[in-house]
Amino acid sequence: MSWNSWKRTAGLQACGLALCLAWQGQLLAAADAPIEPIVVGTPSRIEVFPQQAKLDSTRRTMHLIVSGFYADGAVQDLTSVAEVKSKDEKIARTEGSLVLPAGNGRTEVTVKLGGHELNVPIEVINQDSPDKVSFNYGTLAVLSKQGCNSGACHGSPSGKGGFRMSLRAYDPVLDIDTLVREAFNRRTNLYEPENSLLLRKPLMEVAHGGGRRLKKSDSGYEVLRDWIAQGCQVDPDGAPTCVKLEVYPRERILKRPAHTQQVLALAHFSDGTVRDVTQLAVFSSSDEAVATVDANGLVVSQDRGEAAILVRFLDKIETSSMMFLKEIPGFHWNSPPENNFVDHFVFQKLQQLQILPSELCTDEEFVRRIYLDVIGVLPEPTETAQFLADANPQKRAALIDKLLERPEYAEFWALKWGDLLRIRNVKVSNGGVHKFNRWLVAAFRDNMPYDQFARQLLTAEGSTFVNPPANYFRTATETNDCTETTSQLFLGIRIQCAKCHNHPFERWSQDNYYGIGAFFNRVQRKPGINPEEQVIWVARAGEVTQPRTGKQMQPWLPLTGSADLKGEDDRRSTFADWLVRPDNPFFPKVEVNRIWGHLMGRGIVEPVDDFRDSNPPSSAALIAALADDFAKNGYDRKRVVRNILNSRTYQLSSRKNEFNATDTKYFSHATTRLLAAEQLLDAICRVTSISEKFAGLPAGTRATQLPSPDVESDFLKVFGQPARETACACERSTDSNLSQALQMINGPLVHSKVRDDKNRLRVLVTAGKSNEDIVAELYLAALCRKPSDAETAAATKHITNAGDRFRGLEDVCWALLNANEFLFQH
Amino acid sequence: MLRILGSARKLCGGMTRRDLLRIGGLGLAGMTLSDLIDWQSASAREGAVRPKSFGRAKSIILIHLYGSPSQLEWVDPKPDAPVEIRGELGSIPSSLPGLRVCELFPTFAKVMDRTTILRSMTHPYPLHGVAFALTGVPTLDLPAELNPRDPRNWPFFGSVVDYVEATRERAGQPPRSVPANIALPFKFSSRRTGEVPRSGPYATFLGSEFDPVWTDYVGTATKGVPKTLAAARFDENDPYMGLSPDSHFYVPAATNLQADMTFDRLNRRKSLVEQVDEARRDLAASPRGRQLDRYRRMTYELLGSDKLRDALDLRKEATSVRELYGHTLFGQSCLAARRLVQAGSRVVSVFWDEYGLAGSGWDTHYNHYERMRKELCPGLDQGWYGLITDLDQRGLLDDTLVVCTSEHGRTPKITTGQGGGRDHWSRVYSTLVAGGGTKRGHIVGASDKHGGDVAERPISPKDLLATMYHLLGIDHDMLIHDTLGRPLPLVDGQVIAEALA
Repeated sequence: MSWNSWKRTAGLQACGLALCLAWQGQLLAAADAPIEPIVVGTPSRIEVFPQQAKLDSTRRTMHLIVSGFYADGAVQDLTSVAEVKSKDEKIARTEGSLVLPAGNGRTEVTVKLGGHELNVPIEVINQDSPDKVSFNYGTLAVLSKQGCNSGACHGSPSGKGGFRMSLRAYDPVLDIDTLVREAFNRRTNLYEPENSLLLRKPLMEVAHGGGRRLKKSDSGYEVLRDWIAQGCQVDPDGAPTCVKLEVYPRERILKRPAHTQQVLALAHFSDGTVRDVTQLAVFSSSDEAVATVDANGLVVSQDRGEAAILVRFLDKIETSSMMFLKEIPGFHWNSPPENNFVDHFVFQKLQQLQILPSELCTDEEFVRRIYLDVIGVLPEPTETAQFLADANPQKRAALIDKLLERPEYAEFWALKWGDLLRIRNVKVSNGGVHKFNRWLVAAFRDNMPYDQFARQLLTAEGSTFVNPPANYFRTATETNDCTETTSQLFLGIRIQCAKCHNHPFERWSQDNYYGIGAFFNRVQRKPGINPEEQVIWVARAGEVTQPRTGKQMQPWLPLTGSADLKGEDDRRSTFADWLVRPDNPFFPKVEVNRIWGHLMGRGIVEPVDDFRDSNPPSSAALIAALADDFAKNGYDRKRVVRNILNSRTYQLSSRKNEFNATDTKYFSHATTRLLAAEQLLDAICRVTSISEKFAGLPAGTRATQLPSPDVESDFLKVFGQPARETACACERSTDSNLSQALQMINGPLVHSKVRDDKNRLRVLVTAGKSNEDIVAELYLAALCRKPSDAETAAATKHITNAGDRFRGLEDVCWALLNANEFLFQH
Repeated sequence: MLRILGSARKLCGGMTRRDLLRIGGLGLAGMTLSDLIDWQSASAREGAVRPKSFGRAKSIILIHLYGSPSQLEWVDPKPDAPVEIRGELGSIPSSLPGLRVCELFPTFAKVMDRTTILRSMTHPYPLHGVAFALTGVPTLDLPAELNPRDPRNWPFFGSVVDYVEATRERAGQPPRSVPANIALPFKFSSRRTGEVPRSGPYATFLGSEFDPVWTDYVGTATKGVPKTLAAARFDENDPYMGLSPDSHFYVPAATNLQADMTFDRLNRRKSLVEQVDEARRDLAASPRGRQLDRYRRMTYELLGSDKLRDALDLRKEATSVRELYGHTLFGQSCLAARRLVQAGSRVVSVFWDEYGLAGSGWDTHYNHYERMRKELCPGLDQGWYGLITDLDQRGLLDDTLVVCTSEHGRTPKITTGQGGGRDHWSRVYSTLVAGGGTKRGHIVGASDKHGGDVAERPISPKDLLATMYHLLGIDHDMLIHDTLGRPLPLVDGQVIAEALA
């Protein structure tokens, strides 16, 4: 397919999209921006990639990517407008910027553009006989590219319409059987290749539930037909294997008017050859609102921002990082002061993207925000008043230090880790819940270094009562659970998909999954003396077998590879040693990201425990700096919290300005979010000063102190308290629902506290306070600010008109509890 | 790409959970734009040739008989089988020529000419798989089945429909003034002891906002039989056996104000909140603020409008109509279901749930005949008759799909358990469908001579679900994504063409 037709296709796709949308009658969040004509301008130089090419078979082609570099430092992809001509059409010919072989020999291809000219040497060999299609790297690549073996289609565990392939071709042995032998050989017809079901179905020549997936003009059609015509052969033993995928460009910053980029995918083989697999690779964008990418690898900017373009060729995955900039009219960087390195990295990116950070939040907003984030509860009105009246210019930093030493800090953060460690009666017994919770609280209170924290959990043994971290292996009842939980918690990898097959869109393979499992499979569990207790011990032998291949797996570590461990040692120590090694990129990042996500309402990687190539951080430099500081300073979690809280970034207002109104991921303003279930319940108790009673726990226990969700509280469940079934942070629901609105507006809990005989407003009435004073204190308790004159007037007028003073005050209290300013962290 | 719903919970699939419903279907992370276009054109073409039954039903009343009735002593009697199989009950003819039903269903028999009987339901799991029956989950996983919040569970049929409704609503349709997904008579598994709660009617990975809205009831149970479960005993009356004529339903916190509250006072409170919110209008404009506001408006709508309250307040119904359904919790739930459909609900589920002790409901391992005669059949006999007759008389039957199903059937052979019983049996069982684009009076499939295996046309519960989606105008192979981002079809089944009108 020529470059021009590529462009046409892209244009048609944009139209087709609009048509489909009209047909569905649905709204589209971000309309695809059309491709504008490319303005070449006057590049100071041009570059062609690759700088030379060897076409070593009749099937080989090479795309040339042409980039223009400009005097102001800008760069633009000029591939589609460059003039590309072969010097010898008998050796190599060109279609647009695609170079195709014609006959053996050497020649050059000339690339002309904007007054510049470059010659690319081309060597062509092996043209005397047609090359056979490779099953692994041709046939299966086409089936993957066309989506045939995707999870939604024939790659699903039960296949579709009786035709099942391995997901994204992870099991070629199974696939050859399926394609050639199953279904009475109807899928592939060696005598009449065109009549093979494998071709007629996706062409829709016969009914196909998946619709039309292939056109005769597609290069994929040719590959499949030729493979069948050549006898449906598998690759011979010793055939070269793909060892590496290379993408070009690896990184690129494009500034309008530059807004498109052709991506090239090159596969490196074990025999040293390099093949252009752009037509066989699958492309996707990490953020479609920023950039889309089509089937041919043409990236089109939709908005300013960053996107990772994920390129997959069979089991190889690489990314191309793109940043798109544009001049925002009227934007002027106001150089806000940087409190520490956090601000440095955040502001650097904001300035580059021309997003203006919000103003600093007010003291009132700060005091409310920081209490809720650090200790989970609202300040008492006296605490708020004291902070607001404090004239010390360093009072914010002083309050941060003070709160980090409060006992509620440890309890609140233990609640968050209690979720991740799945602390529940049914998993660790009633006694175990309290013991494990106390261990967690102590770890936060004493600021146990995070590497020790992880090691104590991962290498724990003995009684779950005597050594509570051993509960880690009680909640994870078997090896696969250990693998998945450990990957999720400490590596930020959701590896579950690789249990049954290679991960469909990430680099984790099934071998990796069971390789990690080999560190944990010797862990054994037995009853303890106390009927509620369990004893964790480690056997001296035992190996893991990969279920698909039947092979025994060696312990395997990400980025390190197989660990050849001899003897009877507890392999978990080796894992823990590797985990906390200073150069481990996963371990510190996940934890600083979790902390960041908690404090900022959104992770630098979001979701906070979902690190993967297709989900890049919103600032790689920021997360690296935080992780580095964390690892270099003894994995001190309080230090991370303190660094973030003292940054101007954390202290920005949630009120947006003209230049950051649409930003959701670069932290240019505070993120508005509903209080978590426990925070909300405690806040209601604080405002009304009527505490909640939880069965089996001492009176006065706060929701943020609960060791487990076993206390039956409809209110907490409705507001998203997780059942602690999984180690995924996603289990805590942050969505609103009807039941929440019902609970707040007409629920028994709010109603009874507002009416309680001993509540705050009644105590104030008894103390002889005026309506104005009571309203002021309720505002201070609920919103951490004094009411404006207008608000005081409206509230007191309401009280007077209510007829009954208590009812009037109850209404004011209720209204404050139902105000957005109360329900949201902001 | 093509994001419809706006929440930003990212999954390992690289998409947000709410992105799941992508226009036309395919949405795996690896899909490219052109894939999507091709796929959509395929769907569009399918749309052109869609049978007219697609979307024929405006609403569905989904009845689930927990515990599972015996196919033989209901709509698939085997009068010629030996007595240890056919049992002690005889059969009677019905208004559908050629169909005989158990003698305990004389009233029910009169509406069989408007009912389609699926006699060849089958699947491999003779366990109480409520989630298996009512969700797309492809296999029955026992630990998940006994834990509503197990991440392996799939979303309930009604939750999926609500999810699709919400998508359409956000694309411009006005919000409904009654919940799209409402369930009767009380929160599932909440009125019995002796077992953990069961999975099934929950939104699972779609998020709690799509859980069904549960009603509760007011009324006095008037009849009872002693129930036992191991050492436990339950001697109170059972509302499924008889319920006082003043019974009615409500939705806690949604239809009745708290003590001391009046609508006038609520309105004044609402104005006060608006006044407080003035100071931070930006919060209401944030995505989270808008989401919460949607549910707040719905709450005020529910509390302030009489629609839901009236639909559930059966005291507003004529005595004769109430008697048509029978004064049992099941009968009156069916009546409330009809009223909810009229008020605009899309999916109304009626559960005949366990009451008092686990192992009650239709799970007749013991005292089978006594329970069938006294506890169970009279309520179903009158309830189904009332519902079908009433819907038909009001001209609602054509637009309302009614389904009556269960987890499985019961053993053809009577056991020697205390008082005689029938145990779990999933190799063949029966399900009823009526109205909403199905045939008026028809039998699909057949069991063998002992009611033990499928003789003709096996139908899986997944086929039933596919048919329900189809009749409500939802592609059953539309994709949703679980918490791992895996693309899952709503249900992997086939529409039961023989049941369609």
